[in-house]
Formats: sequence, structure tokens, C-alpha cells
Amino acid sequence: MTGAIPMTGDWTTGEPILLAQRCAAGHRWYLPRARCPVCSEAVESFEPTGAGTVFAETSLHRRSSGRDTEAVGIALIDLDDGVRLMARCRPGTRIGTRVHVSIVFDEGSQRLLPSAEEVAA
Amino acid sequence: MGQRRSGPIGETEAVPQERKGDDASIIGVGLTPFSRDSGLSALELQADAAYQALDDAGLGAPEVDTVITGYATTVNHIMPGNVLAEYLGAKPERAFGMNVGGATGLAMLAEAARLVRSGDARTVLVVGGENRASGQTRDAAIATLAQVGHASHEVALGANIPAYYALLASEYLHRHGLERSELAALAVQMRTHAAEHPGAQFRTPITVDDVLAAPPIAEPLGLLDCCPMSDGAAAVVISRGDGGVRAVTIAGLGQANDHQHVSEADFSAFGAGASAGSALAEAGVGVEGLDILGIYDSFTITLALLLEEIGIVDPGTAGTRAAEGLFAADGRFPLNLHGGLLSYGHSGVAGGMAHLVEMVTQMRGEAANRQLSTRPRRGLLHADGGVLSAHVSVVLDREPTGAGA
Ligand SMILES: [Zn+2]
Repeated sequence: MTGAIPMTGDWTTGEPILLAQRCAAGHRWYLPRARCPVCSEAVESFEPTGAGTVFAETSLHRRSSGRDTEAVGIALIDLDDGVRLMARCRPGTRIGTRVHVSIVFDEGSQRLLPSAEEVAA
Repeated sequence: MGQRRSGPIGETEAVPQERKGDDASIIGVGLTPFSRDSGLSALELQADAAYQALDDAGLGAPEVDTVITGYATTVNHIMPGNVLAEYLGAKPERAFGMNVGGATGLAMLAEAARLVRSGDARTVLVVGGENRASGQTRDAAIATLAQVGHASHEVALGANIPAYYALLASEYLHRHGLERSELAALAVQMRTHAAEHPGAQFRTPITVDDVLAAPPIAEPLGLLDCCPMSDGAAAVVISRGDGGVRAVTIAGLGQANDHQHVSEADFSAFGAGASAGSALAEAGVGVEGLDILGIYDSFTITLALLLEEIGIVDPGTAGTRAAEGLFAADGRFPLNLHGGLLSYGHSGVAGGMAHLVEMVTQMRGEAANRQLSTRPRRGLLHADGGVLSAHVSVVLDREPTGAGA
């Protein structure tokens, strides 16, 4: 079969859903493709549980037109379901922190974004 | 190009037999000062550097049969090689552009060397330059550069280039149990070098305390951990290895492209080690045989990660070794003697080419007040584009391939 699988129905298209992808051979990844980047097998999307661990984090100070806005936290999260994704987080969240990633509405950008909330270890 | 290798880079090896007799050499270089506002367009800057390099090589533009030009974010033209070739009156057989981010300059040099080695080209002009600082608003430049991230799954979160590299920095400091003060020594060293170069954008000396006190950009990176945006241009002329005593041989090439987005990067090996390993193997030299370095330094963390993965220093020690003077003019590995991207400045493609021009100038013994006391014989250049995404390594040798040590 040829042709791209449309990645509709997740937060990037306005639905409050987090999606990742996997193939029949068990490979898993996050950035969407029409085929598996490891073995070129067919793809299916799945909903990760959202449970994961902070792998890297930055507090980004954005200066739009010289105006210093409040810092936003941006992190790479290793999900227990086997994929790494970028998500918003509380600025200063420490590496190794256990988190739950869900899709929330961000007031600043007026859109849905993945957001990592700290959970009790 | 040699086969990609893994593992540590070994002792100096025999020169590959197939490399003898078909050397590509750098026979001309040009570099403009870098500044906040040059008063010139991207094309005018490119031409300025190109004329310098052609004059240096003793050639006229019509003698060039290939023109390769890097992208300019302020122009976004679909035919940058042709536009420059027409301006110069070169009428080359081949003209093309290239886009691999910060690695573009060395990637163009690598293609030029391959064309010359194969005999398909005689004389190649490689140029990069733009009015990155004066030709657009700061917000526009940041937005353009952020597009090396994934449009829907990274950029949408408000991330930008400093954020991507800050993610690398946070993981690096955590893994090695370091404080951000240890990266600061790299910025201080680059500024010390830049103070000696009249073309550098920032020449006022700084201290570790200055770096730590600078406004935060993307923690743990502050303003002085980040390169500026600059106007500027650089150019080189490459030809068959009969360019006389001032010619510098392109002795080894290596490249690696293992990911584009930080979300999919392998933090244990970004590609720099494989790329540099190939270049060193082709040149028949190990790290211990290098006299000078030109390593991409868009951020302090960039420089630390590249130096460590290439094997110049042990993991987690780049900042400490910088503070000890390893990369000073009188250190074991003089590094980015023009001041690097952090202090000479960063004008996109030309930023990564300034390291190349400085190394050639040092090998010729023409660096005036910056000249190393012992003229360097062999050096390693390395550049990355994206988020340690595209890697190009080049070994330069002021002697022809196969010449004795
Ligand atoms: Zn697969």
C-alpha cells in the first residue's frame, strides 16, 4: 500500500488527544510517518498512557520585540510507552522527575499542547 | 571519503594510497569583518568575500568552472549559486546552492574537494554570506532558524534554536554532574581569541562571572553562552594540488546525518565522532597528530559536545580543559583563533566558514599578531547544522598528502 496516513485526530489538529506510532514489528516513535522509519512496515497510531520521566528540560525566556515575557518550561519526556516527546512543563522541573503528559489548552498560544505535570513517584 | 568508523580514534595511520596525486587544495580565502550592520546586502557581502578569495588565488572569476553558494535567510532565493555567478561574471559550468544549516560551509568545501579530486572540476569557488543581523528583524531571524525543529510537534510548543540546545545542555550537565559555570570557560576563551582579530564582532574581554551574570536565554544557557547574529561573508577557492607554497591540502573528509530533530537524537552519539573519525582516517592522522582546531561553537554546549564526541577531550571535561588553557594560542589544541561563532560572530553559512579561513591563514603563517609560534601543519575542522543534526569534518594539511611529518 502506498500513500501517507493522515495524522488527523490529535492535538496538532485541535483534538485533545496524544498519539504516537508503532509498527507490527514492535518499533515505536513519536514524529509521524507514513511507514516505520526502522523497517518500513505499515504504521498504526496509538494513545500512550502519558506516564513518563523528564529526560531534558529548559526554561525558555522569550523576548518578543524586546519585551521579556514569562519563562516557559520545555522538556523532552521519555514515556513509559517507549517514545520520547517534547512537552511543556513547569519551568525548572528537574531531570528524572516522574510526570504525566496530557493535552491541555495553552492560554499564551491559544492552542492545545502536550503538558507534563509532576506526579508522586 | 573513508568508511564510517565507531570507537576511539586511533594512532596516526598510513596515508591511504588512493589519495596520492589527486589532492584538492585551498588556494584562496576571503573573510569580511562580522558586524551588527554591514550596510550591505547578502549578495554584496558574498561578492566581497568572493573577490577577496579570487584575488588571493590570483584568479579572475571567469577562471572558475564551479560556483557553490550557501543559503541566505535574508534572501531565500532558489538559485543562490547562479545569482552570485552572474554578479561575478563567472559563467561557470556548474552553479548550485546548498542548505545543511551551520554545516553548509564545510559541506560545500567537501563537495568542491570531491569534484576536484575526480577531475570533474578544475577550480571551484565556495561562498557563504548574508546580512543576517541587519536584513531582518530579530524575531524574524529567530522564527526562521526555529524551523530546524519539527513544525507541528516541536516548533508549535514555542521552542527555538536556543531551547533545542538548552535541552542538550541540561542533559549534559545532569549526566556529568556539572554546573553551568564549567561551560562558561569556553565562552571566555573564544572572547580572548577574538580580542586579537580586528574583524571580530565582540572583542571586549569577558570573565566567567560575566557569562554567569548575563541574562538567561534558555536555561542553563545565558546570553554569553549563545553566539550573536551577524552580517558577514566568507569564501574559498579550491583547485588541483599544484597551487604553490601557500596552498593547503584537503586531506580528509567525513560526514554524518543521523537525525534532524532533537526529539529523535541519540544523545550518546550525535554523529560527530563518526564524521571526524572518517576524516581523520582518510587523512591518516589521529587526534594526537593535530596542531590546530576549528570546531563549530554556536553555543558553549555545542563546542563541549563536539570536542568530547570527536575525542579531543574526555566526556564532561571540555569546560575544565578550556579553563586550564588547552585551547589557548599557547595550549596543546589552539581552537577557533579568530574567536569562533561566539565572538567573531555568526552570519549563517559564513559563520562556519570563518573557522576554515582562520585555519588556512594560520597554516600559511599569515595570521600576523595571531600567528601561532609554531606554524601548524595539520588541523581538524568540524561543523554541525540543525541540532547536532548534520555533521561535516575536514582535515587540512599544509603539506601535500603523503608528505613526511
Ligand atoms: Zn518497524
